[in-house]
Amino acid sequence: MSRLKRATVLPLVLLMLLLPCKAALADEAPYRSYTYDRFHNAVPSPNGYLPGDQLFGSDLGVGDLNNPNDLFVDKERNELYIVDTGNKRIVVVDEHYRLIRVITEFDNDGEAVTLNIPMGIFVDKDGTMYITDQAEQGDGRVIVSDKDLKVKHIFGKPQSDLITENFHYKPSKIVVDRYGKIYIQATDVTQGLFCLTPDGTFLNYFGSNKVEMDARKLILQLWRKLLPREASQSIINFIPIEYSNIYIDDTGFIYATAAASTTYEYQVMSLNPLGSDVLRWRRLDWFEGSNFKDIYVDEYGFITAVDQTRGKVFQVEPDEGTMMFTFGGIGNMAGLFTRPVAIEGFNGKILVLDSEKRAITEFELTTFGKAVREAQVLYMEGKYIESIEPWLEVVKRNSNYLFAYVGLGKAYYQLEDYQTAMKYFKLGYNKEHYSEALREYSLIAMRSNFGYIVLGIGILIALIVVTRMLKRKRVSIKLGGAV
Amino acid sequence: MAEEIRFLFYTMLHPYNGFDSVKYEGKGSVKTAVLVALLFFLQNVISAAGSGFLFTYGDPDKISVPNIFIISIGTLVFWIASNWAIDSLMDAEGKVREIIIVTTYSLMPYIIFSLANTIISNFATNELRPFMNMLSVVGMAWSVFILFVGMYQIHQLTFGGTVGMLLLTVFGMAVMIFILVLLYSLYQQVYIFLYTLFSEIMFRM
Repeated sequence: MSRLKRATVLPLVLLMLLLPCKAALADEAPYRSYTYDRFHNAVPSPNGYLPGDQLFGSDLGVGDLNNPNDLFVDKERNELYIVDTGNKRIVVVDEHYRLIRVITEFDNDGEAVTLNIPMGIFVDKDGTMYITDQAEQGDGRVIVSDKDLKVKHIFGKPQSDLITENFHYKPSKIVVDRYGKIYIQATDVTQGLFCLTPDGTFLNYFGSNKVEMDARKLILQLWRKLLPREASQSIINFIPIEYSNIYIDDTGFIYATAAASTTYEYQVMSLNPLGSDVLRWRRLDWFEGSNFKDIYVDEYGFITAVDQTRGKVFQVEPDEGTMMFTFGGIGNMAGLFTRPVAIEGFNGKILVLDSEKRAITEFELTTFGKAVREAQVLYMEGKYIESIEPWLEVVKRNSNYLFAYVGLGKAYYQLEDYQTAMKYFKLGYNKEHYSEALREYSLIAMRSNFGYIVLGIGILIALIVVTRMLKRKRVSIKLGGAV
Repeated sequence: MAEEIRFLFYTMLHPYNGFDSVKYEGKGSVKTAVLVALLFFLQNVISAAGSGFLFTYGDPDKISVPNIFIISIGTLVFWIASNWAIDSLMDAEGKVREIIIVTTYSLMPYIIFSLANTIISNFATNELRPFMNMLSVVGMAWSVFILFVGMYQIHQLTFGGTVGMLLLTVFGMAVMIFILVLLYSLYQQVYIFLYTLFSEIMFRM
């Protein structure tokens, strides 16, 4: 009897021990998410993204990856390209991560062209591949090939008066706009991006950066002016910040990240066709000290960037640059990175490539994350009233999510419920909108109580007149008495 | 008391006559001065905690009444002490009683205008902001003007002398704060020295 009991109880106990563990594991992430309150203190928040699968080379059926450096998603065919630099190949998989093909060499009119140090890839709408290929010695090149691996062009070092003879050309990341213009980010180039015509001739440097000035540099520059030429040449040169990665979105805007920006003002950039930065929001204090490695912009304009210093991924909304989610960190667990190099969005998930872990980590939206995105998208489309419900859902899960209150405030402002709008704008700490709501509210209040206001002013005037008259009477009585 | 409060408002509008009678007719009292100083402190608390949402800056959770007390009353005390010291050095004719009365009484316009601002700020939109800024500037300018006139009257200096005295007073305040900080850090050093001495002796015994 007792043995039977033990036999049934023991597995039950074990099961009980196991179950909560598993349930807990499903919810937990190895990082803590946070947002900022109105005074820029970090406050905990629910996770917007949770780590899903971690994909190693063996999971894709191609053996271990070796120092992979870039990810690219071909939206036309829904394929994922992984640039496996160390193995001198490019791995192409479909949406279920099943292997489609491995690219190692191209056919250049019967002559085989192999990859040396492939660093980046871009695939345009008709499947033409643009691959940046560096060399151990000498200059790198850009291989342009059609989808059947037939080489169309091989572009070497761009020829121009602006490019010196001993310059070592190391193309790294590449994008191509819809007119076929090629933009190349190369290592150790501070003048901007190389912009090439479709036939490979150098057009200009695109999106040249400014030198970030600070007090120390200003003083040094003053010295340089004062000192004789020989001495001033020993003072260090100031060079503009260099790009670390580029991304082109569906509308043709080029987004770029800057490597090692000291003043964190130009770490994330959005370049218009003229090459000037048009991002409206600036000075995001949470970017301080970051070294952004890659950027991804989705179809709604949400910007996701990965920071190599802290291993963190930040997602911000495009209007004001408010931070929506942050995830990741430095570490070895699934969901953390040791050296994140590339980020892409694939089937609604965020993929982060880690070159040291040799793995791609998937991140999926949580229920909270979905609610935030849904509400944010409605908000950006100006459908404030429709966004009330998702925003309330967001607030229910995270009462610190300030932007939700601004969204709610705008919705109630549109519904002409100014008092509620004021309440939400106050919670969202948006003084500008609060002031607008307050003006409408006080106008209405004044109109509906106009009678009382007039009455009050009338009584006040009457009182003043009466007291004046009384005083004068008293004075005259006094005077009369004296006389 | 009612007489004194009427006199307080009289000095606001007639600083020359008012502060002249402080010196030569013994009008005004230290008791009222303390009251005004407390009012000044109270006004600082009210405008920190009671301003409208649009006109509040910083974290309301971090408002500390003791801090406000130390800053507002401390500034007054430093001003009075420094002014008295400069007064003695420059051989001016002011007495402590007069310095206290002039300093505090001259705060009245500032207090009144700030309180008005705080009340308006609860109904005002952003469009009223310039008007409110103007109010506070007017209040401050009025206060400074009265203070200047009062100092001019009680110390019996020339115009330039009064300007010099006010500047020296500010400088004196800075010196006093510097000495206080110095004393504070020295006090720590002396304390540590004595403590080590004591523990050394205790080890030997």
